[in-house]
Amino acid sequence: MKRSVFIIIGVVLVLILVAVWVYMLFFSTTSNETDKQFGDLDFGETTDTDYQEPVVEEEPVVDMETNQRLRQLTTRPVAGFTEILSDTNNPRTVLYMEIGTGHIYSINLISGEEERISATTIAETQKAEFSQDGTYVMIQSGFETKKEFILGEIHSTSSTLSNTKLAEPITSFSGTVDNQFLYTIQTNASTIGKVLDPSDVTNETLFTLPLREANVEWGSAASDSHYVYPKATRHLENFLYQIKNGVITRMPIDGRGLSAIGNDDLVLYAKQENDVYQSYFHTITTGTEVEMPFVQIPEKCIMGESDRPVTVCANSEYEFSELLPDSWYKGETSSSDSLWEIGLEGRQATFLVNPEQTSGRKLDITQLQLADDMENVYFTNQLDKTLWLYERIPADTNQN
Amino acid sequence: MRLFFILFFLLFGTAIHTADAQLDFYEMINPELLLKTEPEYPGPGENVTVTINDYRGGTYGSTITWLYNGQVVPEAENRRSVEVNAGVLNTESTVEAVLSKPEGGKEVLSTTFKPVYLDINIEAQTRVPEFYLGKALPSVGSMVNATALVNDGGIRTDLVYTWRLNREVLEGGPIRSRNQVSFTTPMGNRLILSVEAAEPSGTILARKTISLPSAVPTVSFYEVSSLFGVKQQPVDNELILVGNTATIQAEPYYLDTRVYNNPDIAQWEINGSLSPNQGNNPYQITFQPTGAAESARLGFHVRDTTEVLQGARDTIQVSF
Repeated sequence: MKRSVFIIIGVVLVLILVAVWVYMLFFSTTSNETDKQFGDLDFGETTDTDYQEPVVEEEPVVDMETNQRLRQLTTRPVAGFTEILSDTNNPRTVLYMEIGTGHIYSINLISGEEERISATTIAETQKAEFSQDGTYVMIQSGFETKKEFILGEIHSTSSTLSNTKLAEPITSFSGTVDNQFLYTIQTNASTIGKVLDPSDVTNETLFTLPLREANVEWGSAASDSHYVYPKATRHLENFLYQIKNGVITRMPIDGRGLSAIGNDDLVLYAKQENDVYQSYFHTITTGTEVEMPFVQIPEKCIMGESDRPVTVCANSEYEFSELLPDSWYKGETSSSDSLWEIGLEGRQATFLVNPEQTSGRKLDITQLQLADDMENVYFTNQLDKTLWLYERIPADTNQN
Repeated sequence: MRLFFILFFLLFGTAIHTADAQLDFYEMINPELLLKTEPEYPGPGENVTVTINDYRGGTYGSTITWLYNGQVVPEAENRRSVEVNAGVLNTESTVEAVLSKPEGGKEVLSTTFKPVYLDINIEAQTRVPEFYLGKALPSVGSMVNATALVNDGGIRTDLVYTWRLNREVLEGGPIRSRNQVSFTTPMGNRLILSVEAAEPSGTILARKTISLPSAVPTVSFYEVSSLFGVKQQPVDNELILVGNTATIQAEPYYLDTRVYNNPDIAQWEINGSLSPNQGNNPYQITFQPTGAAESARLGFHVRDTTEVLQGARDTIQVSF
């Protein structure tokens, strides 16, 4: 054969292959059935116990795109958080500290931008409380007998936290609206409440109570009412003290499993009565009691101070309410909470949102916090410690 | 002879519990009209039932008029008891029963009460995990600290306290200015603890009795992250392992802290076989599946060999 014939045959073959490739590229479809057959050598499940599913590192998602009033703000577990009030120069932002690392992040609630503002690692960070202006943070790190308490100062010009170790055996702490910290320490026979000025790390005693194992519900400032009760169990009678300006008052409230929150005017409490867990609102000035419309664990509520009378609660239906509050403390009670706003001194409850219906996720809501202007409600999900936001007043009616 | 037996019983029976028996003995040898309150020392705002105890039949045929702080209680006319409110904290209230006799003449019975708060706070020295917000409960053999808090507008610390546990007087008798006692939890599901607070002059201010539970220690299992700490939801019978290891913490609720800190037995078991503790913490195990099995039974046992009721054991299923 002539050489030219070979060349012609070669060129034709190349053209055919190019045509097939172009056809495949633009017109072919891949069926699922084909996918299944391709490469399926039917080896069955792997028995290699060393095999590990690849862990996909989820990037933090700040869900600011949707117009939902309920939004998940972090995928990181959160040790503590605060909203920094906006002004003309600064948009509304949220500061939070990550559990485990102690890194501090700032979320711009308008743009959704998240920025790490402190890269100082505080290993085994468990709890954090910020000062209202976001300048200071009080941190608990470590577990059991290895717990440490640290006062950190956040700098706007650097991503390093200036830390001061606090030597006292602190049992609870909280930030105040006037940029101080309230905390308790435990002695051999008492609980002492103090206020700490972070600017010069000086403290002052607020009260001394002859109880060691006590829960403290702090007010928003040292001068507000604080409520203290011995740790609760459904098996024993409990009682409540109000502390204001150093004066300790035994409230006319007691009962088995009693726990409470309150402000200068109102107390929300719950207790066991004849094996039924009941929740009440107590008005201090009149002494009146109002039974709440549903069973409510007080630790799942937040109450504004008396000049901002807003109470928001996370509520579920509890299958074995006669075991409360012990079963909830142990983590044995599963919740799928809805948010409710309680009004008229406990006589009215307004439904706000059901996260399971809105987001498809069951939330066990804890650490509720109201923004200073009462527009936003923040909380963490006990199950994964992520931070969530509910716009109590919709954003389009907010100024920012 | 009958009188002799009664006197004999009163004399020797009350020798053991002198403080308890004084009032009854007095009533028995001085039969007269008395007003009795129930509860005997009411708290502020508490409802009080005042009853005429007529040991000598002196009310027969009398009309009875009840007065509460000088005001007639009309609905209690000619009743042998009246229910009133104890009133506000540290304010004295008076209840009177005016007996108008059929033959003429009146007899007035009177009682007063000044309500104060008397609270008993129990702090058992038993184990609960750090995240647990609730109170630790006593268990057999564990130490308990009990504190009496009398509040009459402020917390009083200058009183005389008499403590009883199951009717046994603690500390050998009344103690001044010490409102706290410690005792070892005896056998039994429930204990009766009472305290009486009196002025140094002897006037009793308040008395309170509580039923104290004695819990059985139980083990719950929690997953642990080295960075994030203990996950606060216990493993509910079965733990599904994600990844190839998991650190699990056993939490023996209500175990005496002395036993918790120094246990005679603290053993992990996998499918019934002892597993050596891998670290410094005997209550934690890092679990790693071996072989081709798809699940294993993981158990934990902690116990004191002297006080054998101070112990607990439980197991969970781990699937992988």
